[in-house]
Amino acid sequence: MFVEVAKMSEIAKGGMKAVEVNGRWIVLCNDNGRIYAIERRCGHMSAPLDMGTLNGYILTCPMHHSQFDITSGEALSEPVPRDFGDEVPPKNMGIYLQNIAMLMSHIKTCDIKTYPVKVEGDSIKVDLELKDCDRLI
Amino acid sequence: MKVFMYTLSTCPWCRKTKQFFREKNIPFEYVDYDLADEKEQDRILDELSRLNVTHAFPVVMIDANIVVGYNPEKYIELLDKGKQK
Amino acid sequence: MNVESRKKALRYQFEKVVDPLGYKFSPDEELVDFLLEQEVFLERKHGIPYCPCQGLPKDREGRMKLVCPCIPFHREQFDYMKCCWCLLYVHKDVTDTSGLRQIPLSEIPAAGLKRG
Repeated sequence: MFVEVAKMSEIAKGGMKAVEVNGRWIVLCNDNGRIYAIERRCGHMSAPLDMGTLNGYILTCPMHHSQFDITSGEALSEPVPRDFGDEVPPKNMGIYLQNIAMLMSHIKTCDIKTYPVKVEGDSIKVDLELKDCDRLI
Repeated sequence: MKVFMYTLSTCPWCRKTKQFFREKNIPFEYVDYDLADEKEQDRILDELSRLNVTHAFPVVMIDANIVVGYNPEKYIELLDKGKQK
Repeated sequence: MNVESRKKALRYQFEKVVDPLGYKFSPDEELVDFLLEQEVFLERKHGIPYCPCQGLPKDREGRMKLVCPCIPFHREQFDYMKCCWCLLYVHKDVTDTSGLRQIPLSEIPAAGLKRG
């Protein structure tokens, strides 16, 4: 069921807007006049994607720079960096952490999913019944 | 005549270079810099900087002559020179 | 992560960067496809799409100069070659790539190379 969530005049070309719809946060992206709607949470660590950058159809997350195809939702790249390895953390690590905290302050904590369980003898069975919109980890 | 080269496993020009020598049936040795361990990489970078070569590959050494970049004409020239000796 | 999707995304992003520098993707599609694929694997390994034809030094600053497109850090050399080192990008007026070749820094004439 389609519901109005915003007006075209609210989102410039190349721009994004986060909107809350019935308790869910989504992001509207304007790729040269075409509007796409995606979930707000990054598929990596749930950072608010509307605070990232949009380049055509490619959205880059503000936290660790994973990239997503806004037309399909496909994750195009891993976060950068994956790990620091032996590299010494920068002196201004505090600023980096403050930025992370700022980004995460925009993400509310949701209830988590539970799944029906059945135990048959020694076998534990779970009914996953995954829908298309469910995330596979 | 000794042919040795430093190459990268990700570089198509390095592949073409190896192919060139193989097709001419000229034996050569090579080290893929990117697949070498850290110590070996340090050693290679040292050697290349002493030879005044930047980190551009392939680096082919035909006897004492060094050719940086895929250059079949130069390889032929140096191989012919080597044969004449 | 899908390799083809990532290749397409890198190509989309890089095109916008090299165009104002006077470069375009090489008309040799097979080479471009191969090089972009190598960059996808390098990105998976290191987190960054480095040039597939240049060896990575240890220092971060040196590595940053090899992030594709690395044209700005090798401008004079590549302008003289009319292409970048791995020939992924060529000058906009290049239609036939058979005449292009890799020319090391040491062979670039002083006139074509600003020093200092």
